[in-house]
Amino acid sequence: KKEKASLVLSHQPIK
Amino acid sequence: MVQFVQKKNVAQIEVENEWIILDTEQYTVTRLNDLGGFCWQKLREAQTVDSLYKAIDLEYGVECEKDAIDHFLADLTKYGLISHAV
Repeated sequence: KKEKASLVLSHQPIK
Repeated sequence: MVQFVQKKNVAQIEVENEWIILDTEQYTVTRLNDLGGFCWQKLREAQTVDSLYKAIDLEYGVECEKDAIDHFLADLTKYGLISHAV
């Protein structure tokens, strides 16, 4: 098992 | 149960425990945390909130709240990255 690490952090259009 | 699956026309890359999702159709960039990236990979095949909940528990040994998974899936749907599996 992996370690406990922790979501959408951000979302933006490409300019 | 409602099933969700990744839409096509997306590419992803993992950078330092973050996942960057590029939507090549809508030209957007979306960043996910490590657990979000894990769920994103699972969403290559149809998943429900329950199946993701079990997969997270199996992989991480963490009981993640189903509401959080539901909210995450709602966000991805809103941003056009996943859709209901038919």
